Amino acid sequence: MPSDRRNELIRLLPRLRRFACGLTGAADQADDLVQISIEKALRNLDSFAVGTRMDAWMFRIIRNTWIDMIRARRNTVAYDTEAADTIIGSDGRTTTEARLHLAEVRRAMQGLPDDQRIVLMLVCVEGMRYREVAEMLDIPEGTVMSRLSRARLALADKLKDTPLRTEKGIDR
Amino acid sequence: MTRQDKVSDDMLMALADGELNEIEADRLRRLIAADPALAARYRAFATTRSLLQDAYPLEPVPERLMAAVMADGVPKVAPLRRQMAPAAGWGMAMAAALVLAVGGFFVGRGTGPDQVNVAAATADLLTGAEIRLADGSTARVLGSYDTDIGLCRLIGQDDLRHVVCRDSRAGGWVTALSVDAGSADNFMPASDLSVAVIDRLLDDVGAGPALDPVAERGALMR
Repeated sequence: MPSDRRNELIRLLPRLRRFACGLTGAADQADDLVQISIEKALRNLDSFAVGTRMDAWMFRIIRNTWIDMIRARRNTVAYDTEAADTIIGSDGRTTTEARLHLAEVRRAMQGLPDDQRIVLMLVCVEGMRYREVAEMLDIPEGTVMSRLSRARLALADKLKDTPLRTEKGIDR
Repeated sequence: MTRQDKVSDDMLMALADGELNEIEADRLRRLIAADPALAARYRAFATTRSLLQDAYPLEPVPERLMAAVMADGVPKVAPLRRQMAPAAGWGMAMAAALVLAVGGFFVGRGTGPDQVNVAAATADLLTGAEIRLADGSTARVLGSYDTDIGLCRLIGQDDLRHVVCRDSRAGGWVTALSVDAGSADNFMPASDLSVAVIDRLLDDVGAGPALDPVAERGALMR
């Protein structure tokens, strides 16, 4: 692998990991998902078209890997119940209230279907355009929008009883 | 009310996501400013966006992911050890399933008889129950499945995961797969990778969802 592409991949890692966190809901699982996806990507580097966006390419690989995992996963007893309750990372903010509130947001997010979480992460967190997400997922732009809008309304509904909700979410 | 009806959720969302051109955006912002109900609908979209951005910050990346990029894309896993005693009827399916475990996850711990003992030691236990084995390890039943080849069970033994299947002809249990699920702090295969291999095998033998306690008890007594 040419070193410039390797470097680009290294630069993308924080974003890949953030995307994976949105899908898995737990940091350790997100790391596993990113690692498997990196291994896949390195084995299939030929399919990466030079001059196209590597972030979109990697997001697609992560998304496909995740879909494979959940399709295959069965309803077994969690071996490590503690891990299942882990709240992702820390947000680096000082107030406990804000932290609790953001944990609430992540928990609400985990209650949404996978398809909706994927578009939410790509549009709201990654800032991708509807058109780009549609291309990436190979679905019509209208489908991206309807998933996104359902997900947003469901999320807003889940969070409406959260006492700490403010206009802008949290003070900055 | 009538004014609000003209504006779709999609339009409001597109504004919140910066998808509208300046002219459209200006027009819509003016409508929102003049209509509290419309403003409330718009807020649901704008707020979710900013909340999600705050809830998923960029964080430091663990060393192992850096290392994965610098490696050659070959998973660092324990060597494959094919150890099976195929009983007539399901040997082929198992062999096919094992081939899927490319790069393999068989581990060198213990020998065949040990793993058969794990299956035998847990044969009376229902999912969730655990037992301390003679070698000091703890075995726990993680799930039981009806499959094309009969009853199979997923058993955890410390970091190991075994899939054992009942040998309907000879009686007793046969270990179909043993995987090291790895601990978090080493370079062993990601726990989810081993889960994927186990699930692949269960898929290939036509396993249904995990049995509930009543069905499991019945299957064990058969």
